[in-house]
Amino acid sequence: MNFVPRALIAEVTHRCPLRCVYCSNPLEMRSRSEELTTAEWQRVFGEAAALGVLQLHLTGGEPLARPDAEQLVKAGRAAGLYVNLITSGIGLADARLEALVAAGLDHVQLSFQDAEQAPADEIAGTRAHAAKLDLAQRIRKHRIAFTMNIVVHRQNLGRLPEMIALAEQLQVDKLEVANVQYYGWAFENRSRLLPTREQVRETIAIVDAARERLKGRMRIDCVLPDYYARYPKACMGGWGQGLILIDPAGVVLPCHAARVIPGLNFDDVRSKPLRWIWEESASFQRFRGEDWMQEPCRSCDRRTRDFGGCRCQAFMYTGDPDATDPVCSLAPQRGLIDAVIASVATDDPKWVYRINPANAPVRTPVA
Amino acid sequence: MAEPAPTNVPRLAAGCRMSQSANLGPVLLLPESMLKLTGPGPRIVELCDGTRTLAGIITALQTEFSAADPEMIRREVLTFLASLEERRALDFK
Repeated sequence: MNFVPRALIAEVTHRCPLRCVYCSNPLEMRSRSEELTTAEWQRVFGEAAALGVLQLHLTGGEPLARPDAEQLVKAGRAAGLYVNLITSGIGLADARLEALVAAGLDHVQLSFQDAEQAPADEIAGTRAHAAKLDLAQRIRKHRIAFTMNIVVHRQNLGRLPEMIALAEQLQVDKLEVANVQYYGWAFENRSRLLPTREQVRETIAIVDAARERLKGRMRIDCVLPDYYARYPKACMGGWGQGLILIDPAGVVLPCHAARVIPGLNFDDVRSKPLRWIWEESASFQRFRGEDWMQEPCRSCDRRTRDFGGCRCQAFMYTGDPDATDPVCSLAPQRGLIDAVIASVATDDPKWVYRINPANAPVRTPVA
Repeated sequence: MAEPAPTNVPRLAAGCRMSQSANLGPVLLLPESMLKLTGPGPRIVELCDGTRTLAGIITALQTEFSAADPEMIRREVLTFLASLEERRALDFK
């Protein structure tokens, strides 16, 4: 089968001024000294475009922590890519915003933690909310696409109507209501983040009503937590089927979390061409197609739609990356997820905040 | 969403632009998605340059594709542009 990647997620750094408790970065982060250089990213963007990639997502960590962010935007455009900047926005002054737009930035996706300052800053582990509100108004003055992303969870879903109102007030083109995905730091904090079934039901009703009301003015994307789904998500559109993620050190992955799966050797763009990694490397071939599947996936009608779900989640819960994603109602190990859901709201530990790779790699819970 | 008037001027929304893909041909790049354009799609999008009215665009296409039924062209253009507007890929001024 011939798969063509359409999107490249470039995690250009793991450094970040925020310490969000649901950060999708791996627990073991790359240090600044490991990061790819401007010239290396420039070459990689060209290799990605030659493979068929159309969309470049510059993310991190905080991509603006790199002084060459403008050059990276320019390099993405020069390679013919659509350039999206996924940012916390912290410290983004007008002059730099103008330089990013002039470099060809197509779309900025600004993260919010809440509609209210105090809970937002608690999740971010720092004071960030007010600066984001100010930046949103400055972004709107430029002719670029503007998305507001709010990660939602049990602690803030009660304020979903206020979040939608904030998005309207800031006149964003698109609002992403993204339920936490339980990997990385979010997995560490899952008992405090996972919403209740009732909250999930309310979310769907609120989003549906807002979509109808705002049709043609603001789009709303909504990601629900797969723990409450009957069938698993088609994670990343299938392993190695349409998406490439490159970490700050140039290691090429099929998703954010893939490094948790033991026994896979992920190649890096410093030592191998991206085309070879995509087409030939053992790690990208590992879960392509259906040969690896076990029952019940192997004979399931849905196998071409959801590809057996998420390989990382299968490994994290069952210890076997070939197992059916345990969120699936047909999975023999679905009970593991039901046990997590049953513990919601009874278990209330303290937050585990994301650490910064510049700091010593000590994982201590912070109040 | 209101029905556009013939005097309205459509143009691509901020952050939406045409591109050429080596294996897909003409595509409209949108925030985090893309549309593969087929048939007269690329030409219609090209005409939505912010200078032409909706009526002007329809007339231009009816002239270019003079072998086709003009009323069918008009309806196809309206349907296509409405689908772009719903995706927030197009604004009417």
